Amino acid sequence: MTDLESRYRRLFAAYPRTHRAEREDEMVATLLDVAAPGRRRPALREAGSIVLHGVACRARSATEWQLGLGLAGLVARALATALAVAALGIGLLPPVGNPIRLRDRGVALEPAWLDVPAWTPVVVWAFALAAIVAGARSSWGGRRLIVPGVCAVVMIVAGPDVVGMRRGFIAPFVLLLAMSTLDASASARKRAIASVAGLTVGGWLAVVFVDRFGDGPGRIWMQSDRWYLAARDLVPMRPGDWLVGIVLGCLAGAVRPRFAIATGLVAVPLGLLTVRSRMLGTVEELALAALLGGLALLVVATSRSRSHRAGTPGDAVAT
Amino acid sequence: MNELSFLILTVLADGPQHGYGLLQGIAGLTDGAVTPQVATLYRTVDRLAADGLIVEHGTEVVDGRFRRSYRLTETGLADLETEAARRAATARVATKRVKRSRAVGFAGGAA
Repeated sequence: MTDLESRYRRLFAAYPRTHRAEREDEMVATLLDVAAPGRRRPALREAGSIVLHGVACRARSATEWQLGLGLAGLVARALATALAVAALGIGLLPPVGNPIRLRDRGVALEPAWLDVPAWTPVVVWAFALAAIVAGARSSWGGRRLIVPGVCAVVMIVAGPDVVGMRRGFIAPFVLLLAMSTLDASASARKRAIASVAGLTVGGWLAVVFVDRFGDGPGRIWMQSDRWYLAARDLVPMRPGDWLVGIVLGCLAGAVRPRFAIATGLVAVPLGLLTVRSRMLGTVEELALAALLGGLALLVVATSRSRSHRAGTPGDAVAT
Repeated sequence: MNELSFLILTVLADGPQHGYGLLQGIAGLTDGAVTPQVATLYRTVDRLAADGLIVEHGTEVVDGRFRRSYRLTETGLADLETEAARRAATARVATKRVKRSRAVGFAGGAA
């Protein structure tokens, strides 16, 4: 095997294994036919094209991703529903007995908190819960995202703190819900992506608007450095929990690669959020977060390399 | 139908071809104006095969290199015919408008 051929073959790692088994020899032969005599390395444009098409081919390979995404969606919906139920319960408690409010009052009592009407959390979270339940029953992926997304925007605008779970909670909430649409059909997915993009931009514009022009509790809250601190409080797991989760994901991946894909899909964005929330933390915390993020990626990579073992050669051609 | 699909079908209308043959055929048809990347070519070939416009014709090993050749299906031939007619009609209109535009001068070319 010449240097050029082995370099071409290395680039084909970007393609799914079934596609490689079916087409690699043929494509490499054509690449070698085309290559100028004496060439030892693939041209940059050719290499980029191979990698790009390989990655796109992976993305199109529905059989590989479908179950993993479906599982991630299931986890996301279950988690979002559980959080909404918990938040609704907390919201129903009177302020005096509300454990989160008492805890936060112990840390720093903000006058803004007292400005939020007592019924606000109940209404907002009841709406969110209803939306999630209704969305989970919908067969249209976009609807599944839009309603909870609207809830997120409402929560952003509603006040500095709705039920003791602060604004930073919204990001993972929306991310998880967005993930739940990924197992929908291609057209629904496009609508969902467009929706989440619109809602995200809308939500952040609302935040900016409150920050610049609002004069209520939202502005007071936003002028502080509590964004990061709050996010750190609100990512519900501690690094140790992440580690356990990642290890479990690795073990699950050893049994069924798709489980690891699902774990990775949930772990990577939340891991990144952990990194962000710890921006004010110590170097050790950052290093730990980076390590966990790397492990999450490893999970995905491991699953990727194993995921085509049981595939049939004809699949890739039909995608 | 995009340009590359059209060109691949046109090359195959002349007989079965393997990947390198397709590239050479496309270059010949377009005087070298269209030179797709190999990965792009095979992506299009995959899509045409998935749509039932082409099928595998056979495989062989030449000088140690594996080759798979493709041929048109009946559907592919019919689609190529339709597409060629459409493009020819468009080209006729374009040619007519160019002539008219030249005749009246470029100032009147908005029509």
